[in-house]
Amino acid sequence: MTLEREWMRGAAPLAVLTLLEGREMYGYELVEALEKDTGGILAMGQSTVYPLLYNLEARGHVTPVSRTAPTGRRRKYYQITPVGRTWLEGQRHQWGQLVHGLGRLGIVAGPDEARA
Amino acid sequence: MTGPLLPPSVRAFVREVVEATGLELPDRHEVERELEAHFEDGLEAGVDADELIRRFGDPATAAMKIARARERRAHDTTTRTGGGRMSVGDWAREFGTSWRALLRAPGFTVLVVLTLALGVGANTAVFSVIDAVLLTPLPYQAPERLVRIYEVPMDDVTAFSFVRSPTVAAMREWDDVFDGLASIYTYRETGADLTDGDRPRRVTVVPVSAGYFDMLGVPPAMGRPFREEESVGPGEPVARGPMVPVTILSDRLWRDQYGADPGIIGRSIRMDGASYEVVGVMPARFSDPFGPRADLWTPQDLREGGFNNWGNYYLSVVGRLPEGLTLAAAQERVSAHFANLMESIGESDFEWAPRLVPLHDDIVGDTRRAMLLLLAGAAALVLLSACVNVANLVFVRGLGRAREAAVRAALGSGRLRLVMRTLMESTILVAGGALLGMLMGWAGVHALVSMAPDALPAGATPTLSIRVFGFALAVSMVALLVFGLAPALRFASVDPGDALRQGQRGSTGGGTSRRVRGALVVIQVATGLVLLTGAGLLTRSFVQLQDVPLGIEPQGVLTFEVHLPDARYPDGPSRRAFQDQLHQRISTLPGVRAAGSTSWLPANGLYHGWGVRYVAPGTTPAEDQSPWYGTQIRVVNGNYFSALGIEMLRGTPMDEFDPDGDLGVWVNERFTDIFGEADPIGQIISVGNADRRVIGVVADVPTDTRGSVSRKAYIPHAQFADNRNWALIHTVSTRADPTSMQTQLRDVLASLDGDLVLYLPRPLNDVLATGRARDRFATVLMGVFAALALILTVVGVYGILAHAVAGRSREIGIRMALGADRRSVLEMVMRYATSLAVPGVVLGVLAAWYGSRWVAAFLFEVKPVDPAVYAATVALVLGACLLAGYIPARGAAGADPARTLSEE
Repeated sequence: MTLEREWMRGAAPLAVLTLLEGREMYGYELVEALEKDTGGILAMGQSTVYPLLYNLEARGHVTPVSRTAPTGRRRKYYQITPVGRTWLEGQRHQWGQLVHGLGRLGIVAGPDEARA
Repeated sequence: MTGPLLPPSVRAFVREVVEATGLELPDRHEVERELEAHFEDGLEAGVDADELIRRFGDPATAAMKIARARERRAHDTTTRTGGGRMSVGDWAREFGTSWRALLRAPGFTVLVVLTLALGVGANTAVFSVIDAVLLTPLPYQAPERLVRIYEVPMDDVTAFSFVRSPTVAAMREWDDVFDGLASIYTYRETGADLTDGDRPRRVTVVPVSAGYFDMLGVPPAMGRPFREEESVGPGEPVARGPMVPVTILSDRLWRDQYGADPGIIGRSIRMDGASYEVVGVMPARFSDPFGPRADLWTPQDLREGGFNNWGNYYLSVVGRLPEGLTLAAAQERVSAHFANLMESIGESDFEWAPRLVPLHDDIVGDTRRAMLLLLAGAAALVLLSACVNVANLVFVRGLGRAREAAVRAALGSGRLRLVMRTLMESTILVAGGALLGMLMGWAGVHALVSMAPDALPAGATPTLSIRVFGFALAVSMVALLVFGLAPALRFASVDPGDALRQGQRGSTGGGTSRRVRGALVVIQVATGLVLLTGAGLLTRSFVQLQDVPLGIEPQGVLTFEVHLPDARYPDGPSRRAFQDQLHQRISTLPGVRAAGSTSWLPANGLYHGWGVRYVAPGTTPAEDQSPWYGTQIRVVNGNYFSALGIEMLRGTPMDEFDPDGDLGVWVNERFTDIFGEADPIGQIISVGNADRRVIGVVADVPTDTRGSVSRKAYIPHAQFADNRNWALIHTVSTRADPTSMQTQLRDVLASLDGDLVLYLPRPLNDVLATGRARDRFATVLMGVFAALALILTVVGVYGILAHAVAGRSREIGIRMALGADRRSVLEMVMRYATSLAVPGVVLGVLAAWYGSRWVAAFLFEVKPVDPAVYAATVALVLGACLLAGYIPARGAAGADPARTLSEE
């Protein structure tokens, strides 16, 4: 299943930045990772990742770097910026609060319960 | 690029997405490369092309999202980096965008550039002339210290006159007032025939006193200036020639006639049958303030005696004030010196005294200055009209983009960027307009100069200067600020929500914008009306001038001059014999109706104003204390009155007069008042040191083109050839085209004296037109400006109405669908047109009425508030406005309501 648009809008940047926190990645790589690493939940039309990246770039959360890939082609890699990291921390905290609040309402199971 | 080549389907897909984004070039490439890389990566990962395309998603949506994100990225990175400063690349990108946007709207672009060019061109042309005439200092050393000196009657300080030779001699000694002072003889006969070339050549000779070139601060390029002993010394002046036969050549004559001979100094040249030694050649850049067409200069004889007496006012005088002496102080000293001088010669009750005028002012003249400033004002109004028009065009364009702007703003595309884009567009338009305007101005200057050489003072040669370029640039920049910033700032303050909610309606603009555009059109209508009124007044005045009854019949009359060299025609009898013979030969040529000659043509200004006394019966001049009457003296020969069609009212016609009898004179009707009730015929007047009997009365002919009449006495040349070597202007009345006679006349002249020149042959009508040149210059120029303003007004009114109608097409469609007929739609639009035209006309009439005082000085028998001109102008402007409104109105009324509404 995939998420509704509004949910995606909130979650996707967070997911992308989280992925980039580990290492710099290029567009196709990111799309693949989003699909695989989230069990398909954050899979999106592959084109969507680019506007997303441009918007993050506009906010200064990521920065593109042009590099030659091992295959010899030049590719654009995206790195998370310090501003992006700070923002990501803030967002994580808010998501935590949200999930916590929703859990208390009984809308979602807490992370612990879900795992059980 | 070593990766797998993209299959054509993928390549096409990527291109489709990228095209759909509508991004500008460098940005577009960047996105394209990234998407290609995306697909290459996919192919490398083993996914097939179709699957990749499917996974990518809907191309249109992708394009929209990418475009939006790129715009936001472009803006946010701009504002984030360097505090809003843009890089060179950003500017270049903006330039490209604006350039393409303008190319996409060629009608708008061409209209704006042309309109601006008209305004800038008109101003550049007029300002170039003003620059040359009023602002550029005279081309002499420290020109601000040069003064022209006149002698002025004590009882009428406005009557400037030439200066007497003894006054000049005295002033040359006043070292505390003048660093240098020289006299110039500028009367018309100062020409000569140069006879050492292949054929005789008429040259303009300007006799100047010693010290003239030193005083101006321009030494000869070769040789030396005139020496003191060539102007003053022992003895009396006898003839009109120089006391020492030396001459200084102009650069032009030196090149044309003597092939720029470097050994010319010391050579002798033949002029009027005498030999002159060349002692100098003036530099090419030298322009004589009194004789811009001077070919050569001779030393002027300042020795006292002969014609150099206290009764002969004939010299032009220029002096150089010492550094630091003001004009007022100099004038005071001159007056004191002059009073002492008069006392020393026992004339304590003198009637004339010298008066100083700055040389530049003297050359420019009050009328010319006022005329140029008037034209500058008119040109400025054209520029105003052009700017208003452009403002309107840009404003309308801006409104059309308000929605686009709002959407961009909503998407986060920066306002700064919008302002910049508008400014960039304006800059391109202004640059185009300024450039084209400079070209138009350059052409305009040439047109102005060729149209009215007489309207410009001697020696002023307008060219496009750096100063003028700066002016044009400044004017353009003002235009830029006027129309570039206003809409740009407007964009920046658009509330996206508002603009979007207004939807299509946004394009007609709200109440405020309609009022703004309305005000612009009102200003434009008013400006056009002011200029048209000015042009109307001048035109009417010019028509009046043309209608001035001159009392002559210029049609078919050819005029030319013949100058007799003193050396070969030294006395009265020889000159009389020649002129009579010439007249005889010309009269008998086939096609000649009547021929004659005069010392000065009618309607050509004042010349030879002498004092004439009435010798009442039974008295002698000696005992008579009757007053001197200022009279214009004309020396006539042949059948002059008939040739010009001057009516002989009473007395003896010219061809029946016997010159070997008593001394006679004809007078004009205006003259006869000095005789009171007595019959003029047979009265004796004292003129030119002789008593002459009035033998006839002729009708008045005006002295100038404005119809002024003065007393005139016509003295027969046959009885006056002794007085001086009169340079007669021949008038030949022909039955055919007057210019076709020239060859025959040259032959006749050559048969009498092969060394004489048929000088300045031209139809009398041309001579008369020259007298009206300045009036025509002002009229034509004002008319051109008014026509420009009228065109701009019509374009402006049409533009705003067409746009208003387009914006209200929905309303009009609904009205018509609800049963309104074409007529009422037409009326609705025309009402709007009228609501703009009428306030404009009212404002314009008030402004024209206020401004008419500046035109008044140039009007001849037309009141500045001439009801006919105002009525005609108002009718013309209103008519033009309504016509401009009718075209879009008719279009609206003819529209199919169903279609209009479905298009909405």
